[in-house]
Parts: sequence; structure tokens; C-alpha cells
Amino acid sequence: MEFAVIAFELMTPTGMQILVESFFVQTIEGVEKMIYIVVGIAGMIGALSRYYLGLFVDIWWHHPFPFATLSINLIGCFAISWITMYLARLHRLPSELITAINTGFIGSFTTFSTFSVESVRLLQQSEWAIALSYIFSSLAGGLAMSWLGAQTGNFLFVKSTQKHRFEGEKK
Amino acid sequence: MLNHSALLVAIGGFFGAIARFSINNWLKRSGSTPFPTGTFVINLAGAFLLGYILGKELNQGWQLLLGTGFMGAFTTFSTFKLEAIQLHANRKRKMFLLYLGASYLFGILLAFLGMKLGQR
Repeated sequence: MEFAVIAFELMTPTGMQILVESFFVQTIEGVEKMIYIVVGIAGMIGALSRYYLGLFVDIWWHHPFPFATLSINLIGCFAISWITMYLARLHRLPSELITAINTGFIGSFTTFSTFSVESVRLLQQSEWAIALSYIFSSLAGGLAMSWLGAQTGNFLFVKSTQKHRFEGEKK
Repeated sequence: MLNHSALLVAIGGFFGAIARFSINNWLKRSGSTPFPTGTFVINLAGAFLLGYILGKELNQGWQLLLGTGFMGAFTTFSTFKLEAIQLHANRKRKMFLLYLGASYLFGILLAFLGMKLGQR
């Protein structure tokens, strides 16, 4: 009897609305949970890329200056800014994919903790010149690469919107 | 290519990225400020903890899992710089200087402190 009452109530417009809403809310929550796994997998690939690139650089780089971490961080700075200012604004790729690449992959590829520890170690070894040049090149180089990535990304985005406008006018 | 060491880095990286993403999302939901508190706190905490892990001189497996994998992925340099240039682009010059200065100063100090505490 109770079941019949509930079934009847669900048939009413308000009931339908609740049904539809609860379904969509659940789906959205499911997608939200999925994105954590996707970010995790992208982060895994980012960490592995950093690890392997570090091993590769160590084969031919034999100087106390931490070239591997610096190059990884600078490449990441350019890439994340370029994607944010170009690919993300084009809306051609799903936003979840952009989050996976930016937050997951590039976020894990670059690292702040290793930079800090390497700086401390250089300072402890009294390698003042190397320590200062490392901190300065990370500070200024990181900003420069982010700026460059954002500028080229913005340039390409503006160019692509102009092209679209031109094609639209032809039609 | 995927040996034992790489597997540890991969596992650490998986959880490090999720931890950073979760903290940032949680902070964004509980009200957003123009200052990038999430990345700032994550980077400083990660610098301290990596210092601690390396100071403890754990075996190589733990260092790869917790250090290279987890802390490496948990902290981020690219987002930090992107947020910094966004502050600059939004004409928040003081906040831009504060974010950069405080991140570098406290990052290095906390890594040093972590190492010292780990060595004890």
C-alpha cells in the first residue's frame, strides 16, 4: 500500500522533477568522482615523466647545478600557460581533459618541493654562486616562460577567433 | 621500462596529484580569495615534508614513493607560476610580490627545517 502511494506521488509533476533531479545530481557526483581518478592517472604519468627525464639528464649532466629540475619546471611553466590561454579557451577539448593535463600531468611533472630541497643542499654545501643562480633562474625563468606561454597562447587564440570571424563573413 | 622503482614513483604520483586536486577543490568550495592559498599551502607543506623525508634517510624505496612520487607530484611549480602571472595580469602587484617572495623564502626555510627535524 505504501509502495503504491510512493509510486503515485512519483507520477505527479513534482515527483517527476524530484526523480529527474536526483538522477542528474547522482550522475554529476559520479563524474566528479571520476575526475579524481583521471587527475590521479595523469599525475602518475607526470611523476613518471619527471623521474625518467631526471634519470636521462643525469647520464650526461655532471655538475652540482640542478639542471634536470630547472628544465622540467620551465617546460611545465610554458606548457600550462599556453594550454590555459589557448586550448582551454578554444572549448574544443572537454574541460575534464584540460584539468587532467594541467592539474594532473603538468602539475605533477613540475615540482616545488624538490626545488626547495635542492636549494637548501646547495646552500649547506656553501655553493653560494650555484645556489643563487639556481634560485634566480627558477624565479625569473619561471615567470618568463609562463609569460611567454601565455602570450603565444593568447596570440594563437586571437588569431583563431579572427579566422572564424572571417569564415563566417564569407558565408 | 616499468621497473620496481618506476612503479613506486607512479603510485606516489597518483596519490600526490589527487591530494593536491582535492585540497584545491575543497578550498575553492569554502569561499575563494584572490590569493592562491591552496597552491601556497601545498607547496610549503610539501617542501617541509620532503625535507623531513630526506633528512630521515629512509631507504631508496620509501624515498621514491614518498619523495619523488608523492611530494614531487603534490607540490607544483607550473601552477604556482601561472597563478603568479595571473595576479600580475589582474593588477594585483602587491599580492604578486607577496606570493612569489613568501613561496621562495618559506619554501626554502621549511625544507631546511624539515631536514633538520628529520635528522634528529
